[in-house]
Amino acid sequence: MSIRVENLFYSYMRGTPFEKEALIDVSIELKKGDFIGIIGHTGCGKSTLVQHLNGILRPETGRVYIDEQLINNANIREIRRKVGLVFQYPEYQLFEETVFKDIAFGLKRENLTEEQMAERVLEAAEIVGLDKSILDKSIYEISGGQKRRCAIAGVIVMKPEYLILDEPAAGLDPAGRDEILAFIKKLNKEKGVTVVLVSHSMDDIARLTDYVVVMNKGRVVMTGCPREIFMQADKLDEIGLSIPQVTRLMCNLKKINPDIREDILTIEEAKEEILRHIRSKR
Amino acid sequence: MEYFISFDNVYYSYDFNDEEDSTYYENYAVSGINFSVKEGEFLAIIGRNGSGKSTIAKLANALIFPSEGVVTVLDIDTTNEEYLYEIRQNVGMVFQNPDNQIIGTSVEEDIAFGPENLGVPREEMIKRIEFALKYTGLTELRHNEPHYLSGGQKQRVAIAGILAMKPRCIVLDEATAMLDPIGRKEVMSLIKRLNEEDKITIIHITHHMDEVTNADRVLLIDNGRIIMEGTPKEIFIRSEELKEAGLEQPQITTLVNELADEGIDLPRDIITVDEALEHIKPLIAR
Repeated sequence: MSIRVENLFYSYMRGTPFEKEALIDVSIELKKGDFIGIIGHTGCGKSTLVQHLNGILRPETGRVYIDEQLINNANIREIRRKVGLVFQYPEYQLFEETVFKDIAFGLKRENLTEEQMAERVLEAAEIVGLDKSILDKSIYEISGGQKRRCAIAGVIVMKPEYLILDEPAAGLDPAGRDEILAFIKKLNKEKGVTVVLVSHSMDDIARLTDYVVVMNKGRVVMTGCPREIFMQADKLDEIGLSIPQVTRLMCNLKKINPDIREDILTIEEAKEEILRHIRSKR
Repeated sequence: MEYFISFDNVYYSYDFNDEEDSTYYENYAVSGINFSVKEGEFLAIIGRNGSGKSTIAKLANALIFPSEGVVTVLDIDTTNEEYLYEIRQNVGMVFQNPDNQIIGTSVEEDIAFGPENLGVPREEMIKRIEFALKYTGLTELRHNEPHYLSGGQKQRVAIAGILAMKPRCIVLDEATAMLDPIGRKEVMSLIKRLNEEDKITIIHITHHMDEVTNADRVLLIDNGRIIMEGTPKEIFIRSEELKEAGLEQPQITTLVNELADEGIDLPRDIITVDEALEHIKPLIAR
């Protein structure tokens, strides 16, 4: 079971002088159950790619399969229920009168009783860490961070098997970011939801993911586990991505002492590795 | 003029409109702020979402006025309407969302908007636009539609528009928050140059710690109050207090401190990778 993308091409404003190739021959396979990171700088095609994964954009050429099912007109509703997509700055899309109603909106066509609906909304609110007391508030009365959670809850409430989030932590402070990423990780670990996280933050990707897709100028340029990816610091630099500070430090130390491991992602690992070398010298 | 901008015991509440109802007074976004910025200084203001950073920014160029206390710019009280335009012309603001501050249909036109409204004569305006385009590296994009630019380019357009008004101070209110690493680098190197070469006073509001390392001084804001003030080094070694304020120490500072705890001889106030390399290299060289 997986999301499989084969030879996908896509251009914006096709047939006009502004035509821009956004995706060029993209082929990837994202395994069910994994926490997947997609990185690359603005304009590299990340958002265009993820919008193909639940049929918002349709391939010009190429195919997208969800659990071996080719996305087409007949199964689009089923696919969208399976693959939930949280856009960038999703708080701009809130529109209902209250937080509760906004989270519940997607459930309206699900033939649920009022009690069942309320149960689902409460569950989703709890996952994203929204207190019960704010569910009856207007969406204009809550903070930016709460709006973001409310919008994410509106997707989680549909119980998607695949959850795609386009920079869910953008613009939040470190504490707010950690809280959001923590419940996303929890959804993946405890409920087995496959997560596709689009992010600029190499630190977050290093910390959270099982598998990383690196994009540049519409193409997939690297795939692999975070360690394999971050070892290639020079290549990442070249495409303008910033690797975690400790990884950068270790890569530079390796240049003067080739025995040093450079596949280091966390502060703890860096500390152990440096201590090992200093102590073995004594 | 001793200070360029000065906050003297400033309080601000967004609910303050109803002056009769004193219960509102407790809901302060900013409560009892005192600080001053010297001309030519690079001041960073950090703090979590909702800590009051943006309120301080708006108070600094007379977009809003203190509920209590006094804000002065160039020794002028910001509530003095007579000098409102002078204050705003001297203190330029760049906001967070690049899409919310662009009005022109071309880069050039957008840059012209500010000086046009100041009534700058045409000859002078052309000169200023040329200067601003060149300074921000946008000359080749002058006829482009701002809508199609990248986030970093849009923020550079916003800065160019401010430069054309010849300000002495620029306030950046989380201007890098919505940008990717490349866009952030573009904007940061631009403001560094404005500060170092052209002595423009910078107030940079952010929660990206790596953007703070170049600042002369840092204010840490929480709950509408200044809870720490110092150089980046002085601020970054206080990891517990940063964490309590919803922020985090740079990875490299944490690493260096953990190594120091293990008895390795390293200065605890290292805040950049380059500094760390310099100190660790001799310890591990073969």
